[in-house]
Amino acid sequence: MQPASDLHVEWVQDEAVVLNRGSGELHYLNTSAALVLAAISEYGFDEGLAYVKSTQTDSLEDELPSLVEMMLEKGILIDE
Amino acid sequence: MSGVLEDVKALNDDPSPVARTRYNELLTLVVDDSDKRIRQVPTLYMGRSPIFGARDLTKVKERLSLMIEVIRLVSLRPTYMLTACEFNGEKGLCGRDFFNRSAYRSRLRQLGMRFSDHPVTYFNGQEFACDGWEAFVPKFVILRKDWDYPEDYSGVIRTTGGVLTFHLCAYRLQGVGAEELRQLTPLVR
Repeated sequence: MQPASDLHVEWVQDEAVVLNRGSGELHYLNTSAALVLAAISEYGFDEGLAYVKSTQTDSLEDELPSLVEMMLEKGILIDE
Repeated sequence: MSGVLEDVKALNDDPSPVARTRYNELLTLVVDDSDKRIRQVPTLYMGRSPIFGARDLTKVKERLSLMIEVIRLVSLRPTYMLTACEFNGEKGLCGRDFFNRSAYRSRLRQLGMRFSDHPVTYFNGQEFACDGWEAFVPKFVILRKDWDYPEDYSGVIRTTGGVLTFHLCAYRLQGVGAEELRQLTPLVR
C-alpha cells in the first residue's frame, strides 16, 4: 500500500489537510492520521507502520488498523 | 408572483466567461404574496440557506444580480462564502451564517461587530478582500459550531490549524486547488 499519487498534502502543525487533485476531495487528518501518513510517505508502508509502532504509544498502535482503513476508504492510501 | 425577475439585468447577460461548472437552481428569490397578516420579507436563498432579506424587493433583486455576477466570475477569482467583518479594529471573516438579518449577526452588531455589505470575500494568495474594504489578513474566523459539540453548547471553541484550514476550504466556491491550499496554510499558522 502507498499514498495515492495525485495527493497534495499540507502539513499544518501536527495535522494535515489532504487534497485529492483528481477528485477534488479534501480531507482533514488529525495528529495520529497525519503521523501515519507521514511515516508511510517517508519509509514505505511496512517500515512506516513499524516506525509508528516503535516510537508512539500503545494507544496509537491500537488505532493503526482503523486509521489505515480510513485512509484506504478515502483514497489517500491505495493498494499497489 | 409573476414578473419579479423581468428587470434583473444579470439574468439576461451573456453566459459566464469560463463556464467550468453549471449551477442549477442555486439561487432562489422568495416573495411572500400571501394574505397572511405577518408576511416574510422578500428573501434570497442560496440552496436552502437564506442569504439576504429586505422589505424593499428592489434591494433583494440587486443582491440577486450581485450574486449572479459573483458566481459567473468564480472561475476567474478565488471566492469564499465568507463575510468580511471587523471587531475592535481587527478584521476577520464570518462563515457562521450568511443571512444579513440573522439573530446571530444582529447580536454581534449590538456588541460592536461591523460587517461588510459584500456577501463574499476574495483571496489573492496572501490576503482576503471584498468590494469596499482594503485587503487584509484575517485575525479571526467565525464558523459554525463543531459537530463534536452539543447543540446547546455556549462559548468560544478554539480550533486547531488543520481543522481551520479544512473548514476554510469548504467555503471556497468551486473548490480549492493545490496552489491555493498551499497559499492558505501560512495564514492559518
